[in-house]
Amino acid sequence: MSARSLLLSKIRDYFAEREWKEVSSPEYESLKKFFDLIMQDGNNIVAIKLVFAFSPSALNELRDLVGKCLNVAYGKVDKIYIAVCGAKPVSLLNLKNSFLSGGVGLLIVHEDGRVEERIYPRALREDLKIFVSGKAVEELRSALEQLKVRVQALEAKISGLEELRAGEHEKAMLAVSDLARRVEKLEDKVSRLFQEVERLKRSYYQRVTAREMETPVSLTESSTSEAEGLPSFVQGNPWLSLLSKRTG
Amino acid sequence: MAISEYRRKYAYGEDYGTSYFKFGPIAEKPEVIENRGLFLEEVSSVVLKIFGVTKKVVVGPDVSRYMGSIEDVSRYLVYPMKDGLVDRNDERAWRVLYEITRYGFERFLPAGKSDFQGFYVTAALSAIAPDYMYERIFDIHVRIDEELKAVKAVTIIPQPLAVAIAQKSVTCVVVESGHGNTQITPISMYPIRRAIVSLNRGGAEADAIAAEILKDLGYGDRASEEKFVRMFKEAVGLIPRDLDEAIKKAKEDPERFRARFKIPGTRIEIDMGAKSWMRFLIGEIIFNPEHEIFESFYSKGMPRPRDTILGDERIRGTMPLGEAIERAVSKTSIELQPQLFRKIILSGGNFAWRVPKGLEDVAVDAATKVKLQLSSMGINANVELASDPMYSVWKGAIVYSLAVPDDNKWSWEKREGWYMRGVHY
Repeated sequence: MSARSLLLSKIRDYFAEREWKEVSSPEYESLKKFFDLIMQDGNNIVAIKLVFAFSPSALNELRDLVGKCLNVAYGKVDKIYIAVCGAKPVSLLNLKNSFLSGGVGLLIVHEDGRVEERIYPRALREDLKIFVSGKAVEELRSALEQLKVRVQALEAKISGLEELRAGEHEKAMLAVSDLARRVEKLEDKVSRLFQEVERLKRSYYQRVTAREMETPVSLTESSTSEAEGLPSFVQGNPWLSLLSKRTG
Repeated sequence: MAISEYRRKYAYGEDYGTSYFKFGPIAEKPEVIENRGLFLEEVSSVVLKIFGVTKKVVVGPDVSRYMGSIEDVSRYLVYPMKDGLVDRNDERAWRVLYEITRYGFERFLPAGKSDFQGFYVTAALSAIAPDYMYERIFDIHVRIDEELKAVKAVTIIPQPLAVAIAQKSVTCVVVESGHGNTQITPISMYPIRRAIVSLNRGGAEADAIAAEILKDLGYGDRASEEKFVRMFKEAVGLIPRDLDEAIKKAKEDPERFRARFKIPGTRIEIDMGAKSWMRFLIGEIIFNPEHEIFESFYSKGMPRPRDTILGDERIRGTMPLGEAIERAVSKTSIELQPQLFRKIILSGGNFAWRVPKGLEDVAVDAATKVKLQLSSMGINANVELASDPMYSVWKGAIVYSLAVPDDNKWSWEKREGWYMRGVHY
């Protein structure tokens, strides 16, 4: 078995533990020319590309690879991973922003075969599938016809209304205008009243609160002897005296 | 007032929180267990035989013991409360509440004490708990008393009142914020029920914006993991003094505000880099989800907090917290309002935000943020965090158990008083 095949099987095992399945549908055959694995997680289709990055130049190519992956797969899959073997994790730090901004996930395949998910991918697409059955289309057509009939009836009624005598119409319009003017005046009055109430409240709070802040409120605290031996939250608590006076 | 010897020994408190149940007799602090139960009656009898289990529902620390060995444990694990409330018809949830309540009494039932006739129990529930929850909680205690003779009298108080009692504040506003809900309760010797304002938002909004930020950073897969999102939120989130100013400074000097979050158990680190300004969105959304910056997130599908309708009144779900506090206080008498603004107490995990050293000019804690919001409305208020957010409700319940006299019998109208053995059951 080649090194590539071995590593791909490690990646398959990693996702299999999460109950992901490999997709073999012919729909994704064209993607498999670029990506090494197409997996499915619930409703999500995930494409994975394995690269070997033993040299610094290979690392630089990774940055371009993020863009290439997006170009090839955008709109066709929900998530993309690039699995990197051979690079030290610290050397990948510089590429982190490229992965994050592209929404591409990063897997690191360690020398011992362990797979580590370093960066989580972002969901790339939302599919909205509307299934319209023949029956549903017919129902829609029927509803549309009914609507047409009702619209025609409404149009007839409106024409009838338009036959109102010109004088009555004008009278009605005058009454409406007068009402609108009065409502506007009332709204204005209410608004000014409200502002005045708010102003008075603030002024009252400022005057009285300042005075109250300086005036200590005398409370009947429980005497030390009554609460002796009891926990600290009971000692000196004015509620003891207050509550004790609440008889039936 | 003199506290009887009996009450000193046998006052008992219960705090029914969404995530944790805190309970116990009078002490400096309560015991705590998770508010959840594991239904073993549905699990294979083979597993039960191995563990020698006879109980049908397990609560407390024992739950963790079984979780590793039961397949698909989520089917059998029940978290009875959501935002402090229990569905009326959810019998499995009520069963869990019965079991955790009984667990508490079994833990603390005094052995060999001839003077023991039962505890004086104060249970604390959400401020908006409906009557049926009160009825069921009373029923649970009555049943336990029949079985264990552990409950001489029981009463129920709203959690914000308990916080006010623990904070030793007779006149104040308690703002309680949890995962999905924020309650603002003005209190003046009693909770002023007509003035309570409830917002349909809490820590969940900060989680939602943190998830959007993770997607933006390229960690979309992780954005659906609740626990991960919460850890990220708590690690990087900040409350801005002024959001626009904070974003401007963070963009001008990204290195100063740079946030790095190391994913636990891995070598992977999320570096927010030039997007570190987004840290401030996490804190801001709790206090002002109406800021225009969030519109683009809402339009992309992030849920907008729903409005609350109370009678004729509609409270916008996105109302800034300062405005919501002012709205609650404005429903009280005009003479009381300045006193209420003197003491605003913030309670709940949603207010536990830190200010990193060196960022004090830009980031603030929750109390300062609320104070600034009120100040912008012309209100000079004192705002503080509850001194012991984890235990303050339980502590308030203990004080209540110590103090309320026997002749104050339960009244559904006033929603106070003792539901008592020999009188009610």
